[in-house]
Amino acid sequence: MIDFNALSAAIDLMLSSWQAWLVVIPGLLIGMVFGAIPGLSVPVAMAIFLPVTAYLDFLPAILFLTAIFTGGGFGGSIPAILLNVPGTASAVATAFDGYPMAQRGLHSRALGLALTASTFGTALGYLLLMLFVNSMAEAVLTLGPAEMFLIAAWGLTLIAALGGDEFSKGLVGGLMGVLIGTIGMSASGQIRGTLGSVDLIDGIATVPALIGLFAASEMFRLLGQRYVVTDAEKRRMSLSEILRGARQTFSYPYVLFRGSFIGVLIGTVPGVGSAVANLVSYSSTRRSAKDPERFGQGEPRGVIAAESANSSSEGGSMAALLALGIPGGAATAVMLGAFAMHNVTGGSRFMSENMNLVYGIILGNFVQVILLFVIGIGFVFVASSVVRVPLTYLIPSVFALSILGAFSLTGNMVGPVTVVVFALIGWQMRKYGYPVAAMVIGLLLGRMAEGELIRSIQISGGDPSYLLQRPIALVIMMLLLISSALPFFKRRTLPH
Amino acid sequence: MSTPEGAKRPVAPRRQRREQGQLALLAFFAAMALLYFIDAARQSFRVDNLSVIGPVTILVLLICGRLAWNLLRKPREPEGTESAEPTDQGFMVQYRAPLFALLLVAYLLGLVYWVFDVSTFLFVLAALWLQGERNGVVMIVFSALFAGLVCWTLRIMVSFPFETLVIPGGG
Repeated sequence: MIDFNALSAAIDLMLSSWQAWLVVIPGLLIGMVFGAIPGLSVPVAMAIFLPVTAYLDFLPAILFLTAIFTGGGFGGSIPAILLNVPGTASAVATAFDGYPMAQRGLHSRALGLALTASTFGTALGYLLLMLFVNSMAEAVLTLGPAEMFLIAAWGLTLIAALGGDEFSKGLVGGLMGVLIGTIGMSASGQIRGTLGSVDLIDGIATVPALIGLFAASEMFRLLGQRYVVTDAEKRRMSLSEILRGARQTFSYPYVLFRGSFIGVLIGTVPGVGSAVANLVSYSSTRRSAKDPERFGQGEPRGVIAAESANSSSEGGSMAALLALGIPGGAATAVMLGAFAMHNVTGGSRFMSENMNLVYGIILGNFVQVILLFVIGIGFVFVASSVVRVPLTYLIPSVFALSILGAFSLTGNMVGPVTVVVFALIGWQMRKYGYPVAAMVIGLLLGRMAEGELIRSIQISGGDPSYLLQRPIALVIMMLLLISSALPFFKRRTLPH
Repeated sequence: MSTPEGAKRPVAPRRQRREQGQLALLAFFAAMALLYFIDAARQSFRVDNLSVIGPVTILVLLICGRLAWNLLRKPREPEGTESAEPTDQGFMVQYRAPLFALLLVAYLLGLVYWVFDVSTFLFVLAALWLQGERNGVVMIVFSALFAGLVCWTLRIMVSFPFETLVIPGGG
């Protein structure tokens, strides 16, 4: 499992290179800032700072980029909790319970929970990477479209829980999201719903759409109010509450570990990523809870499940990058660019010849995790002051930042137009009690679900017995069925 | 002739207006789903093209129909028992959200046909006014600082054309 000679060489390498430590703190801060500003994203930050890595050695270069990755993973949760505006797609589920906590004046505690769950998730992700990097990479190769489709379907089941009392409203919102998510060129080459626009061939720009849906619906609701938190006493920043949140995270070890494991497993699969991990973990925690009705009302377990999963997926995505040379998402693709700049190619040969460097990256990330917690507390303390800003100024600022940020993501007016169109849809949905979160989930997973389903049909020739030849798919399907049926059994067996 | 009490004017009850709004939203969803399905089916009627779109469209239409039916069947309370729209609010307060929506569309058009810094400045300025801020100096200083800082940062960061009029180096 662990090559101790390589590990020892990695420790020597880390202790001899001051450069490796110098880049971590700026990297974390850059990641947190980019993650926290809606519209800016972690891959954008990594791409902007990629040229800097040309002047660094390979190990510090990768540590700098992973520091941005780690910081951004947590940074996205800050606006999700404080404003119901997820900074990144991987913080969508964090907003479900984080924002209700903030509205009750528990913003400092919610941020403490998110920070600690992120720290723990990242650490566990890299620990598993250190122990099982080769096995994880081999497991990735056994996954096919059928398994990926089932993972997406698992995430989509969360839609059913979001309608609250009016199940149909949640369902119609989610299904519309699925339809919108499939706009553009399909996996079988058909172009649908683009209205003849070339800009829509790749589909609806997901991040601008979710910013529009979340940010606008909330900002429209807040119009006319003076502050996000109405009680002046509860608006103050509290270090003790942040630390209380940090301690409270460990009151739910099962939620923390399950979220982290889900994140690592899903993060390993190329093309799936932390956004799906965030939703699947939240969904499975809510479904298996004895009191699912508390979720969505400001339940700490919701924040822990969501944040531990999206952060631990980083370790999973690094497994595919290091052992196979396959980027799991945009962030690891930028990292692959840094590999190329240093004439390094990820894969089995890199692993066998440079295990000390692999361990160096992992050890460096353990140190990053500690620094993330320390710097994160300071960052969160400053960031939580946003609840003290009058909404008169906050609302125009959030809207303008979202629209300009969307422009920086897409590089043309598609981003801003998407934000505004979905802003108007989100405003109307919220006005009539349709959960925008359900539409976001459909939007995030619809395209993936359709693509993988088409590929499964193409491979199997439409024969359902194909699934019987895929043991992992069968296991995922069983888990999906059990977790979906569990709440019904519980409702029947538990005394009211 | 003026009406001394707002209540004497024929005001559409709030619930009725909510129902109409919700019906319009459901009609929008159903129309969108149907048009999308027709467009997809026109491309190809093969199973792999419609494997998700087909069943999802049918479900959307069924659920929208059911929700609309429930709304229409809901027993209506006799007039006068429902609370009318509050009439003592000013125009700005009552229509703040639709005005804000219009402002967003105007901002978008400003970005398309104009330049980023000036459009952002004007958007923030107008949004502050809509939000009730009336201190002219504060409004102008905040809008200028915000628009200047954000547009300047983005101009440095992004590698594609970012048209500005006032920020140095703009096109």
